[in-house]
Order: sequence, then C-alpha cells, then structure tokens
Amino acid sequence: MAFAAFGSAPTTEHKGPTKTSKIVLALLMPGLVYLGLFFFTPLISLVITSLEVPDASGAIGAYQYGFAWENYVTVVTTYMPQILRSFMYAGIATIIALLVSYPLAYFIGVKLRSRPLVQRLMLVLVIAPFFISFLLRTIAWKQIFSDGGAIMQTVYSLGLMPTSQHFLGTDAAVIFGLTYNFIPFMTLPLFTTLERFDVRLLEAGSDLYASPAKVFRKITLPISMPGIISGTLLVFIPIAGDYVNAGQNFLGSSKTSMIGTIVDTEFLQTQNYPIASSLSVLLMAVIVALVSLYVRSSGTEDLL
Amino acid sequence: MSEQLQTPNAAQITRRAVFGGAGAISLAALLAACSPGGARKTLKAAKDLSATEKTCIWDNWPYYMDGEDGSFPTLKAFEKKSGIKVTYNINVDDNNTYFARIKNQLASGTDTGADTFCLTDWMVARLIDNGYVQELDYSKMPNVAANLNPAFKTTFGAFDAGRKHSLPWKGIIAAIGYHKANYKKLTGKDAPTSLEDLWAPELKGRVEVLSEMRDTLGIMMMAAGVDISKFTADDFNAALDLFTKKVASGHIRSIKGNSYVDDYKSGDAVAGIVWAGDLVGANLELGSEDLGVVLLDSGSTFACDNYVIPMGSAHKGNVEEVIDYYYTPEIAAKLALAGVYYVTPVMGAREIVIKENPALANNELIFPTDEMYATKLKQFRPLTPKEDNEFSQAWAKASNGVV
Repeated sequence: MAFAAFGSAPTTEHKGPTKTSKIVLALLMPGLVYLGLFFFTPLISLVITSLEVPDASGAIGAYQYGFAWENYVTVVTTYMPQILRSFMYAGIATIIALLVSYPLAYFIGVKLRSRPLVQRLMLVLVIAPFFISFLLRTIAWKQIFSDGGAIMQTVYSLGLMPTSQHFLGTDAAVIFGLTYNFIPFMTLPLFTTLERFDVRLLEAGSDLYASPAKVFRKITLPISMPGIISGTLLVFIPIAGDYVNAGQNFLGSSKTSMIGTIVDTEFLQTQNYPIASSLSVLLMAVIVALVSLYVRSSGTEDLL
Repeated sequence: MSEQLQTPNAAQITRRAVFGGAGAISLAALLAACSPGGARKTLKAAKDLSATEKTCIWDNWPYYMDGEDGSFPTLKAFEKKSGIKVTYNINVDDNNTYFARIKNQLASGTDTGADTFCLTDWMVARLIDNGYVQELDYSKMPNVAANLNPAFKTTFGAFDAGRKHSLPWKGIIAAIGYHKANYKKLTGKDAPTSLEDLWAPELKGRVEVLSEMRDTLGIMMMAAGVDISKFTADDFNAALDLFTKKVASGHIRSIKGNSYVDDYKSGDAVAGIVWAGDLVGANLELGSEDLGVVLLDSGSTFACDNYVIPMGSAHKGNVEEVIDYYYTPEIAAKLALAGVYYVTPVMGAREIVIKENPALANNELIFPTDEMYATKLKQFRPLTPKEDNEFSQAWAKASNGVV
C-alpha cells in the first residue's frame, strides 16, 4: 500500500538474489532520478527558502540566504488560528466523510453483491463527479447556497435564519465543501475492503449469540480497518492543505482562511517566500507527525 | 483563481546549460530558478528580430478584447493588414500572480513567454524601476503620438516620465457599486451617496470590496478627506484599521478581484467597491439597469493597465505596430462598441462612438470628461519599495482575517 512508508516495513525472511544485477539498477534509475529532481531538490529548496531573511532594500519578494529559524516562531504566533482551523476542518470533514461513506461502501460492496450490474452502476455514480472539474462543482455549490438562491430564500422565508445572516462564508459552508469534494476518496478504499468481506463471518458471529452491534464491533469494523485507515488518510491530508474551498472566491470568507489560503497569499501576492515556505514545512511536519501517531495508535501498521 | 492552478511558465533554462553541463549544472540552474532574489544587474534588450519574425505574443486580462470567444475581429484585421501573427493570451488575472510567474525571467532579461503584457500602473512602475522593460520608440507609433490623451501622459503617467517605457491600454475607474432593487429593499434608499452608506447596519454581510488594495483603501482614504496623491503612512493605517474592523465584524463579506459581479446577481452582495466598467458591462450585456455605479463626491481611484515590453522580447518592433494600431480612434471605438467598457486613452474614439451609440458615448464612466480627469479621478501615489512591501503584507493579513 501507498502508506507502507509510515509503518516499519516487515522484513521478509526470503532474501532476494544477493547479486544485484546492473539491469535492476538501470531500471531503478529513472525512478531515483525522478525522486531526486522532483522531490528532494524542491524540498531542500523549500527548507532553505524558509530560513531566508529580507534583504536591505525591504522590497517585495527581496530575500536573501540566512538562517532565520525565527521565521517558524513568527509563523506559529501569527497564524495559530489558521493552523488550528485547518486541522479542525480536516478532522471534522474526515469524520463526516467516514460516517457518510461507510454505510454507502457497505451497501455497494456487500448488499449489492448479488447484483453486479447495479453495483457497478453505483460505483460509477460515486466516481462520476470527478468527470467535472472540482472548481466548477465548488462554484456550483456557491451558486446553490447564494443568498438569492432557492435554498437560502426558503430558509429565510421559513424564518429559520435571520436575513442578516448567510450560509456561505461560514465554517459550516467550508466544511461542507471539503467533505463533498473528498467523499469519493473515502468511499473507494472502504469499498475495496468491504468488497472482499466474507459475510459468512457475520453468520458465525450471530450463531455464537453476538448481538448485531457486537458483530459489527468485533467483526465488520476490524476487518474494514485497512479501508478506514487509507480512506481517512487520503481525505485528511489533502484537506489540511486545501486552499480552494476556504477561498473567498468559493465557499469561504476572511473568517475561514486555512493554512493553504495563507500560503497562497504569502507566496503569490505578497511574495513573502520565507513565511510561505516555513508554513509549508510546518504543515508537512505536523501532518507527518499526526499521521504516524494515528497509524501507530490504531495499531494497524501490519494492516498497511 | 483558476489562473493559479495553471502551470506557470517553465523556468527558462537555456539549451546550452542543459546540454553543456548535463546533470550538475541543470540541477544548479533548477535550484537557482526555484530560489527567489539574486544580484541585480543592468539588463540589455534582446535583439529585435521583428524584421524577419513576423509574430508577437500578447498577454492580457479578461474582458479586454472584442470577440474573446476566439474570433478577435480587430486583431484578425490587424494580422491581415500587417502580416504579423499575434498570439493573444487571456492569462493575466492578478498583477502579483502574473509577476510571480515570470519574475526570474524578468530579472535575468530572458524571454518571459510574452512579447508584451498589460499590467497596472504600480506594477509597471516596479518593472520600470528595476530596469526590466524596454524603451519604446515613438517614431514607429505615429497614432500614439497623435491620439494619446495628455492626461494619461502627465497626471496618470507620472510613474513613467514621458511615457518612455509604457503606454496605457485601458483605464479603470473604481467606484461604489450597488444592486438597485436589493439596495432599496434593505436600506429604503435609492442609492448610496457616501462611503458611510456602505456601513449601514442593514447591509451587514452584503458588502464586498475589491482585493486591489490601492482601489479599496484609496477610496476609503479619499472619503476620509485624504489626498491619495500624497498620503502618509498614518492615513493608510487609519483606512486599514477601518477595513480590518469591517472585515472582523463580518460587515464586509468578501474581498475579491474577479467574479464579484456574479455576487451582485445572486444576491450575496448588495453594495460595495467595484470597477465601474464591470457593472456597466454587466448591465449592457443583460440589457437591464439592475446595477448602479456611483462616483462619490470625494472622488475615485483611477488606474491604467499598460503595455510594457520585457527586455527578453525579440519582437519589439512588432509590438509597437500592434500598439500603434490600437491607438487609431476607429479601432478604439470598435472595442468600446463591441463591449469593452473600460476607459480608452485614445482621443477621437468617443466622437466615433457617439454616432453609433450615443448612450455609450455619453456614459461618463466609460468616456470620462476632461473635468473628471482633472478633479474626480485620482491615482494612488507611487509607493517606495519598502512601503509597497509593508502595506501589501498588512493588506494581505487583514484580507485573510489574520489579526
């Protein structure tokens, strides 16, 4: 699995051929060069940039090499609310996505087994939104939830919300958008695990007088754990760095800025490369830390 | 927004660097390309190959050309007349973003991927100060010499003495915009008459302002009685404080530079600071009078997007021919009649438009009077590089709700 890197890779007893052939090395080269050029080089460049200091002119985008680790302190003190908000959004959206996707994936993967055609159709429906650019889909949601749109007009006329308030630009709107955009990433891994789930185990469980809830807790859930882990990671990581949904041109407002929004502004608008870079490095570090902690505490290294 | 997701221009690494030094050097070049900054040197203009290469690439903002579906009638006519093939790219949607994409090439004087592009006054001032752009040859542009409105050379061209390096493409007036029916419904009034009217409690959460700092804070400073051609840091900070407060309280709903006109149509925005041409254009397009634009008595900001030719362009002569073509009154009039509702710097265009569409010609937001240029429209004063940096950072923080 793609996330094997996070667990300690189990060492296999079977030792491969001791003589490394030149062909293997040659085959590996493109991958290594690719990794070197497009992962390590930019990463090093990013870290170096994150330590830069403004030059004497103080002009926009004018920075020189330095060793300003204080940049990290500045970033944490200035952007704490946005950092916390990003992980809060990511956490909530991931949980909602899981709660929505699990029954869906179970339904498609287990209940629809007897009808392969319907099963395939349902899967296509899960993936179908991907056929349209997610920018367009997000803009469409913005139109749907606009103050003059049918939904908000109904809400206003029923008195559910005072007309001075609105849905767009709130935490809820951004979390909605994030969840919506990333749900397929949760559903698909869950589906692949549940698809192979042996339903006879359920019968065995109830034969042994376990209640349905207990069967779910003791059998279904542990077996679907690999799907849950990969789904949550696939959803949580990109959401934490997302900058589209929370942007003011989409579902957000100045009250919903996330780390991605700040990096976007700092890098492209104010060209404050050191701050943008240190924020990116910090985001990367926190995600790696959170994810390894998560994988470890859920005791699923060997599942990955 | 979508612009930021597009692939930026590839860093220009010369063929010699790639073949000559193989891995190590190109890696170093890549690193150098990734890292900003670097020593400043005096750049030399690329050799002009216009006599042999009859092409030029022009990057511009959206809604600035007739037939943007790709038909480009005026451009096609130019190609036919001159034999110069013009590639017109609508890929500028933000000064900073565009600059960030090509800054390494600008600084090294290499090809940026465009022979000319139109950017806003303050950004052009920065490019000129850094020596990134070529000097124009007026002897090749008789129409410019004859038809450039003097106000654009003096009052609004102060950042480029004598307009030696830049020429205005279109001017933009920032003003107060509002949705007539919704404004009336919420406030009971017909139209906003002062900046204060935007802060009416009934409009809370339905006010949107421009993400262009110089327009939004410029109008706010003018409303506070400040002359924006010579404001101080205190004046700026006072306006920024007011802005920050209005953002924090949720009175200002969002800060946008594009697609904000849709918000007026959808009801998300009822009033705010807008670019006049956008709303006038939306009205004329829909054939309605739903949206209104008000020039406050305290005045409005006026800025131009200007052609410049980067040092790395080898087609300066061709670009000058294009510029000269668009400075003929007939062509400038054609653009206005075809729906480009921004202010033209070409004298004589209005006189042609008035014959075909008097309402358009008499709209002072599209064809401002000399008196407006002299009294109501003001240009935000040039900032020192340091001020520019500090103000922009403060503005970006406030816009993102960072306190």
